This record gives sequence, C-alpha cells and structure tokens, in this order.
Amino acid sequence: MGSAEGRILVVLVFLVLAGFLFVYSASAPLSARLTGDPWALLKRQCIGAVLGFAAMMVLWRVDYRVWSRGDDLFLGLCWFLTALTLVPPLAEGGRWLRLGPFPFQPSELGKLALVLFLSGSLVRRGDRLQDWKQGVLPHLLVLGAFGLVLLLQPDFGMLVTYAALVAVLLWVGGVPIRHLGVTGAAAVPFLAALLFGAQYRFERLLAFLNPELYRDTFAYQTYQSLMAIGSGGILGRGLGASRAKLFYLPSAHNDFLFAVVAEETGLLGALALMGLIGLLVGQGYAVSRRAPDKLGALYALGASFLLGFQTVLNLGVVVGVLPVTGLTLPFLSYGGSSLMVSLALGGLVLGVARASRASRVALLVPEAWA
Amino acid sequence: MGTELPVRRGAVAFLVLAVGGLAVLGRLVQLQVVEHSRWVRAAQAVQEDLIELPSRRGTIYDRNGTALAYDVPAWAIALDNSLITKPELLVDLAVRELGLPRSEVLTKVYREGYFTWLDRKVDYEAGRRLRDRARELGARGLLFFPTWKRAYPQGPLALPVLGVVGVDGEGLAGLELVFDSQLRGKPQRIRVLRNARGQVQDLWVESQGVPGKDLRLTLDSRIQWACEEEIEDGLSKYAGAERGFALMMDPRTGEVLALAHGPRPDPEKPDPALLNPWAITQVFEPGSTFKALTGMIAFELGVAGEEELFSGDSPFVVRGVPIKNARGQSYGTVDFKRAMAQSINTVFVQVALRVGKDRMVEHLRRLGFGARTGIELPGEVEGIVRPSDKWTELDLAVSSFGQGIAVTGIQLGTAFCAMANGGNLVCPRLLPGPTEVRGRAASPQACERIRAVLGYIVGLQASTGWLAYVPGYKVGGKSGTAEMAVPGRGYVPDHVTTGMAAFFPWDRPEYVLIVVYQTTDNPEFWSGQNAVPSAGNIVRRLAALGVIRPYDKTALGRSG
Repeated sequence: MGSAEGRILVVLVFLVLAGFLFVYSASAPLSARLTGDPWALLKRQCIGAVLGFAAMMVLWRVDYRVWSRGDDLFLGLCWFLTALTLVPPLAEGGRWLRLGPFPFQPSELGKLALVLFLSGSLVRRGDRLQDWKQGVLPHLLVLGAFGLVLLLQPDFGMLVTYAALVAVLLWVGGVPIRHLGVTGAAAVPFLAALLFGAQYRFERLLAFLNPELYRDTFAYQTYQSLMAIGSGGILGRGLGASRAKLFYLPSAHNDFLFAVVAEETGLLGALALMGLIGLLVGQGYAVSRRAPDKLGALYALGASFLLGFQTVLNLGVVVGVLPVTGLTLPFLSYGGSSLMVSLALGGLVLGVARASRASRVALLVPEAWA
Repeated sequence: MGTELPVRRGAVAFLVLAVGGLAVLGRLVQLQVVEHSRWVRAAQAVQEDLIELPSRRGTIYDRNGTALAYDVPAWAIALDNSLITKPELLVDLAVRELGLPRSEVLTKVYREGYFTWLDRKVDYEAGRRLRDRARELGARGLLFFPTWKRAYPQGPLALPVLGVVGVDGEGLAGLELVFDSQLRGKPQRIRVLRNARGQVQDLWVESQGVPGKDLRLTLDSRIQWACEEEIEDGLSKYAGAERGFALMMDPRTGEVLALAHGPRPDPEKPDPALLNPWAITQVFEPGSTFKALTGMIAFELGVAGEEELFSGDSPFVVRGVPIKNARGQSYGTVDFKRAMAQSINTVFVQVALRVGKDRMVEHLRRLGFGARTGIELPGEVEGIVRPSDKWTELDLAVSSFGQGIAVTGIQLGTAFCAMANGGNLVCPRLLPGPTEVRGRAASPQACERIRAVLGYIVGLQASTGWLAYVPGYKVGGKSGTAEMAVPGRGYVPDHVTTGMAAFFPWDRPEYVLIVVYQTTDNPEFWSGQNAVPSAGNIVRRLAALGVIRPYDKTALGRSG
C-alpha cells in the first residue's frame, strides 16, 4: 500500500499495538494489585481498540460529506453528555460517565464532534466569515459552553485542546487574522485568572517551575516522570523493566505512559514513537492539502492537528516543560474513550484520503477496496 | 484541487506542532543523555536498597591448628510487615522457635513499614524449623537471609584475647578487632528493588563476597586451658580472690603461649568487663616479684653478690622514714640469697640505694617498663615509671620491692623473658613471626646468676616460692604481695595484688609464667597462699597434659 491510506493505516496499527505493549507493561503491577490479574487493564483497552477500529472503519468507508449533516446535533449531544458528568450519581471521577461496566469520557468524543461541527460550520458560513459576529462569535460561544463544563469538571487540559482546535480551524478556515488576534488577546487575562484562580493549578505551576524543590509535594509526579525518563538513557532499561510503574509514578499507564516508554526503551524508543505520531500527523496534513473540498480539508486538518496537538501537550507535560494537565497520549495511553476517539479521528483522515483518491482515479480504475 | 483554503495557514499550525515536538526532543536528549547518570543515581536512591551479607569470617586457630573461633551458618531473619498474613501465629512461632520475648516480637510484628529485623543471629537449625513451621501454617511475612554466626568450639577459651564480633560480623574487641579487615573479607552485596509501597520486586547479587582469611595464633590451647582452669580453680579456692590472670610466654621468641583471664566470660552473652584482657590494659604495682629484677640489676652493675651479707633488721630508715619487712620481722645478718628466699625488704632497699636513682630508672626502662610492648591487642597501656629526677631516695628505696611503679602483666612477662633468655628484650606476640628484639636489658652473666638464685629459692622449703616447686621441672621465680593504692585512700590493706613470676627450667628457660591474683576484701591475701601454688599447679597440669617433660630426672625422687 503505497498510498496515504496505507501508510496511515499501518501507522495506526503500529501505534495501537505499541499502546498495548506499553499499557500492559505499565499497568500490570496496578492491575495485579487491583484485580489479581495483571492483564485486566489491557483487556479493557482491547475492548476500546475493537470499538475504535470499528468507528475508524465507518469513518473511513462512509463518504465524509455525510457527517456535515447533523453535526450540530452531535455536538449538542456531546455537550449534554459532558454536562451530565457534573451530576454526581452519573459521574465517575469528575470526567467520566458510568456506562454499564465501562466509564466513558464524553469530552473525548466532544473532540470529534467539534472537528465535525467547526468544519461544517466554516464551510456553511462561506463568505460570512469576514464578519466577526458570523465568523468568530458563534464558535466562541460553543467553546465557551464546553469551557464552562470542562472547568467545572475540572479538565483544564481538555479546554486548552478545544481552544487550540477552535483557533486553528477558524484560522485555517478563513477567519480574518485580526479577529483571531483580538479574541486571543482578550482571552489572556481570562486564562491568567483561571490559572491563579484554582489552588491546584497554581501548585502545578509552582511544581512546573521548580520540580526539584517540590519533588515530594506538588511536583512529585513530574519528578518521578523525569526520573523515569532520565534513567532510561539512550537504550532504556529494557521492555517491561520500568520501575516508575511500580507505583512510583502516578498515572504511569495513562497520562504518563510516555515516561514508561522512555524508561523502558530509552531515547531511541521515545524517538521512534514520536516519529510514528509525527508521520501520522504529517500524513494527515498532506491528506488535508489534497482533499477534494474545503470540508474534507478541514476535517483532515482538524483531526490530525488535534492528534498532534494533544501529543505535544502530553509529551510536554511528561518531560516537564509544561505544567501537569490530565491529557492522554493519543492511541497509547490507557483509556477506552481516548483510544476510540483517536482511532475515529484517524478514520476521519482516512475517509478524506479515500475520497481524494477516489476523485482522482475513479475514471481509470474500479474501486479496489470497496 | 478543490480546496479554497489558505494553505500557508495550515502549514503554520503544523509548524508550531513541529516546534513543540522538537522542544520535547531536546528535553529528552537533556534528560536521557546529558543528565542520564544523575537520574540513574536519583532513581537508585529511591528505588533500591543495598543489603550486605557478611562473608564467612576467617577462623582463628591456635598454634597447633585447633580452632578457637569459627563461623557457622546461621540465619538473619526479618519481617516484611506488608506481607504478614497471620500475625498472631507469627508472634507465637517467633517466641517459641527463637526464644525472643513476646513483647519484643509483638512490637516488631505490629510495626508500620516493610522491613524489620527480627533476629540476626539465629542458629541454623532453629531458623530452618521456624521456616518450615511458618510454611506449614501459611504464615507469610518472614524473610530469611543466610548469614554466619561466630562459634567457639573451645568454649570461653582465651575469649578476652580473641574478642567478640557484632551482629554485622565486625570485630568489636581483642584480636577480632585488631585483625578485623583480614578476618572479615568482603561482604556479598545484594541489590533490592522495591516498589513505592515498599515491597520487594527483585533482588540480585551486585558483588560476590570474599571469605575472610584465617588467623593462626601463638597460643597453645592446651596451655591456655591449663592456665584458665587453674585461675578458675584459684578464684574459687582462695578466700577473697576476685580476679586473676596467668601469662605464659616462650622467652626465646616472645611468643605468648597462654594468656588466661578469670573469671571467664560466657561466650554466648559475654560480660564486657570480663572480656577485658587486663593483663594488657591495666596496671598494678608488682610488689616483691620485682626483687628479682632489682637483684638482676645489682648483679649487672656489680653492686651485690649472691653470698654478700646484709643486715636483715627491720625497720630500715631512709631519710627519716622507717621501711619495714613483711609483718615487721627482723632477720639479723643474712646473705643475698636468703634475703631473696625470705623476701626481706630492708636488704633490697640497701641494694637499691647502691644502684642509685638514675641507674635504677635506666635499667627499668631497658627492661621495658614505662613503654608499651606492642602486643597485638587493643588498649595496651604503658605503665608508670616516673623520670629519675622526680624520684626521692624513698621512691628508690621502695622501687626495689616493686612499689611506686606500675606495670602491666605483659611488661612483667617480657622483663622476665629477658631474664630467662640472657638479656634480650623481645617483643611479645600473639601471631607467629620472626622474633623481634627491642633491646638489651642485661648481660647473659647477670641473667644467669639471678636465675640461679631464683631457682635455688624455689627449691628451698623456707622460701616464699616453695609452693611453686615441682620436682623435676626446675622452676625458678619470685613471688610478691602488694597492697593496692586506691585514688584518695592511699594503700588499702584489704586491696591486695599477689603475683608469682616464674620460669623453667631455670638454667635454660623455655617458659616464663606470670600468675597474678587480686582481691579487694582480704587483708590476709598472700602470694605464698595463692599465686605461688597456682604457678606450681600450672606446671603440674602441663606435665600431666604432656606438654612438658621433666628436665631433671634425678630430682624426681625428692619429696615435693
């Protein structure tokens, strides 16, 4: 498969398999302690992968133009589900909804909904984007509505991700640069107030500024993460040989999984992993440039930017150059919602890639994959 | 294509991501390459423990290859408190199998934390029993580490000389302390990886241990045994006797053949006071045993002769101070040999005055007094011989019978070795090696003459040394009894040191023997009743053990 689709598919499979490997390694001690079965968390991750690949297939095989219909409803539903996490009997740990035996994080699904909605909305608004009230304000209100819920959860990292996605899609979608600049400048005091308004965020900022000093308190997690990464060296301690996962590093199997990767496989493994994700994001960007229409271009660009942005944010936290936020590493971190949505975003890129190829070769070759 | 997107805008967004990725990459290089070793150390400090298991300590042998102290396998048993499943059972087991007090076990078992030493010196069999029982009953939480335990196959034999070892197998006293680095070897180092909850995840040997080297001593366990038995006997037999020592040396080499201290410590739970080899570490006033040395110095200087006549009347006045004989007795005119036999103070005062302060101090120093002998034991003291310009005539006078100076047992033994070997001041030693001579103490002629006198007097029924006479073994020597000076009280009548300094055979000595007893509550404590017969008994015991054979078969017919 020399096509973009083939490359993307291979990368996705590799990433998910690597995720299995490291989630198992990082979660085995925790699984064994919680359930007596070291495979317990990996088994749940597999369910997420199956559902995720199913979603990916649908988004890949179905013509993406379908998704622009009802994308506002989908977004509304996601907002509603996210808001439901604020209702105590339904919520689990602030961000999750209890759905049968599995907790589900609606704000993850919201990422996909936001990509679909924003792209659709930008295409629908066309030339009206030149008007601030048409181009920026409605989307800012959508972000505000999610932001309110995300801050109440609280999930600051997710809000930042949403905001970045909104900014990038508006920017690429054709909103005048001055509108974005003014809006961004207006947001600065608001962000500062958020940062200093919550005790835990301020502590995380302190920890981020001086991990050594607060290594037994606020910066414990960051310090343990740095210790894991640093002690991995160039070649790593070896697969399965992580020590951080022995309850030293909290969230070693989800948000801080990359620290375990870097500890076990060293700089080389970490670079390989970053390379894979970089390849995926780059392919996504290429697909977006070759997309048959603006909608497809925005879909592919939004989805791949989202994956890239969340990766950079997560890695930045894990290597201690960003304050701690509760973001997963796409495809790799433990967490069914995250894995499913990451695969769905990949599927969206694949769908656009398929359509662009189909539009070029339809006259010459019968659809080989149908 | 059909897109109407500002292409550059998309590129900018992804460029920002790429910059972020590069920042992460730079940070990874910093952490994993530049600072790698620092983080490895930091992780090690948090995640690993180092356990050192002592290697087998070297065996201590006597000169004939008899083991005096060796290591036997044992267990160091600890609790992993986080794993304990049946605490009540575990407490019962530990109390029963290890004989630990219940309250101690209770506090250890119900302690927070993950690692608590329960007992670090458990006999091999007891530890095995405990392990098997715990396994049977399903009581988890015990950790067994193989270790070593010092065993004393000869019981307390020579224990104050050997010293003891601590729980980490480190020498704490005696030769175990002095030769610790040689005996100890290198411990096995074991790395333990713990999780953040303190549980052991993995352990591996970081470096193999190296067993300690053995030590061979000059001690002869048969002689040591004879001396210790005799001192123990003496302590129970002689009224008021509280402690004693017997030192036996080969005068030709300085080798210590026996250094027995009594009462003997219990090797299982040694009383620190009884572990003190006080023949090395404490001084006493030697009393009349010193007359032998005064006589030798007089012969050396030619100021007295064996047959020379002296006034044995008591008291003899020096600078207005009357000096008396024992029990105030006067003897009329006596010759030197008789004065030695009857230990007449006033005669030796006259001899000392002829020697003079300067020469007396010089010769005492030549005999090794006032300086450490350098024997391989910790805590040796140098004794007290004040410089001659601080001496008065009276000091000189009383020094002739061993008062006003303080000596250690090993100094007295070394001085008598010089007398016995013809004047060489040898270095006393507990480890074999070439003989070292520190200097000349007297001429062979003077030594020979004084030995003849001392041999003569032990064979004399009317002498204070008579009870050391053993037919056929040609014992020579001099006894002494001295009140002890107690700080603030002066000489106290019921604090007494008695001693016998002997050698045999007196014409060509092979052994020097010093026996000393001390009491603090018997004013009638005389060397003739304890130290002298003890010295004789030791010779008899050695004869009975076959260590020595008669030197003079013609004497065997004589009544003893």
